[in-house]
Amino acid sequence: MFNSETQILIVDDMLTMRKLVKKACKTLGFNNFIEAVDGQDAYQKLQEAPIPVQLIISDWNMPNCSGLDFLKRVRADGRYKELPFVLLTAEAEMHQVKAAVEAGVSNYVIKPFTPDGLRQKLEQTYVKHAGANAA
Amino acid sequence: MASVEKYNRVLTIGLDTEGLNLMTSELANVSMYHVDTDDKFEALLEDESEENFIPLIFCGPKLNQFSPYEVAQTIRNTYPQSRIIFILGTTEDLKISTLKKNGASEVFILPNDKSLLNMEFDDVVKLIGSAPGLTRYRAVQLFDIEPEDELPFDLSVFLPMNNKYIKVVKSGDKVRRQQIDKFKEKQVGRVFIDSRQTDQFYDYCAEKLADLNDPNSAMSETERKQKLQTSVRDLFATIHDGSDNADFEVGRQVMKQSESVVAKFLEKKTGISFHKQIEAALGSTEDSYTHASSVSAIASLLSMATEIGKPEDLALAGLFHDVALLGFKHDPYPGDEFVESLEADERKKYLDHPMDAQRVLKTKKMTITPEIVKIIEQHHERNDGKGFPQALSAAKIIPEAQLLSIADQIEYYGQFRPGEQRLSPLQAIDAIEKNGSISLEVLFKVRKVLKSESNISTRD
Ligand SMILES: [Fe+2]
Ligand SMILES: [Fe+2]
Ligand SMILES: [Mg+2]
Repeated sequence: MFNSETQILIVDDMLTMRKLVKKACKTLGFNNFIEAVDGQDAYQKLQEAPIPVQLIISDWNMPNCSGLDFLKRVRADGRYKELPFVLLTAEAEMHQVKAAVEAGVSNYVIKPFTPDGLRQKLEQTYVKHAGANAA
Repeated sequence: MASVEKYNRVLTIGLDTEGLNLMTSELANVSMYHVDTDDKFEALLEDESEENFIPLIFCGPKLNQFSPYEVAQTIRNTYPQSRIIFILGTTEDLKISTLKKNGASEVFILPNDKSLLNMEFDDVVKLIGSAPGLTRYRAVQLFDIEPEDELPFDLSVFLPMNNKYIKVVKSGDKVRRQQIDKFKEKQVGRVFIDSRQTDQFYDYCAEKLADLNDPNSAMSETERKQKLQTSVRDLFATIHDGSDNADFEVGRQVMKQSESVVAKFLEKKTGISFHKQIEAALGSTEDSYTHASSVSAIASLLSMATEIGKPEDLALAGLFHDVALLGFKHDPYPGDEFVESLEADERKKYLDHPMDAQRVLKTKKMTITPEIVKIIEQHHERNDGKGFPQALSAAKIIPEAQLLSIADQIEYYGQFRPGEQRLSPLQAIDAIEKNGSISLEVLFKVRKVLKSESNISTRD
């Protein structure tokens, strides 16, 4: 499983949503976070991170560069092909999940989310990536 | 840590002066906790006592750093079960649908939505307990009242000269012929009930409606049908165009009344819970929820009065007709422009939604009868053969589907849309006739229900 040292990149255009994601992650025992406000900012921070990012949790709906655009950029970059990428999306945007799956998203979390719901999704995500790496 | 007791169960966030004044005057005896600064807002989100349940949260546009969208999204995430209500002065550049997508349960724009907001306050009073001396009134439409009927609720009229409500019939009293004549002199919809008695009132109406729909009732067939038509007509007569603001407000309250009455009627007749069904099918996406319940009520009432189809089938078809469009911006008669503007998969989803309803319902473990499936599948077919998804010719479109389409369009034309005139049901029928989507035969029957002597008020 991810551990307390896991570097998490949290991407959301809303400051308070980033806080809520961070707060939920903290309840799950995580401590290391990098934050970004949109896909562009996130891609930059991903490359510049002093300690490599091990997990991305990104909002879908953001101005400038959306979660989907960001996801596509990440997957197009050879270095991040296997990087766990969890998408945060509203129930009303569920029909867009298909596009995200096609673009190689690892998992998605529906807003509103609870720390427990987030934990389950992160566990699934971990198993999925560990499985892929073992194969 | 701030605890929920501190909020006394009503929380406000960033209300503007108008919203705040309204809340404090309308809910004078309810204590509230006001989050009126960015700091307080951030502290609220840090609050560890979030497990506690706050049923009602009223939000406005007035925080500096945080947009209403951000407030909606974060508050929804922090209080998933709460009813989150926005009170705004204007929409400015906010989109109501986006606000709802972000988690708002309901958005009220002042001053237009004042009466709907008042209904919301009624619920606060119901939930938290009314303070003594605080009676709230709701405009209702009476139908099918007979002399000697015993009413299970108080009836009041409003005297504008004295700016006062006067109780004219006490709960449990029998209504006298004279009083009924008096009510009929009044403009339709200008009778009021105490908002705490709405349940009794809806029960009473549903009972009446069930009786009017019962072929075995004591009335003669002609009398029964006549009365049913008059009742439906009265309800629709009140759902008026917005030319006069007061009328407009009454109309919205009566629309809500119709929905509740149809819901109770359906429950009585079929044992199906309207609200549970709609919850299960549409979840909490309030935008589609409101559309579905209005269309359902209109379609079902029209079915009763025109005797096209079964009212319960039309009610359920109305509830589920757009279930495959969840979260999708949707106009019933969008024209090619709208369809063209959609991206390929959105367009497909839109064009497929009538055919997809049954499948979507199955994923929610719900089933509907083949009759209802067919009504839904045809609700975007058109009399001129230019409908979708099958482009059926006129003769192949069942009247029930046309009725649903009419209800869909009445609801659509009745909505406030910036820069557009809101249409009354009767005006909507004219517009529908022009757009060529419905057969003249079905239109004629519906028009006959809506248009009548009642418009020149010589009705008995
Ligand atoms: Fe539709
Ligand atoms: Fe519709
Ligand atoms: Mg966002």
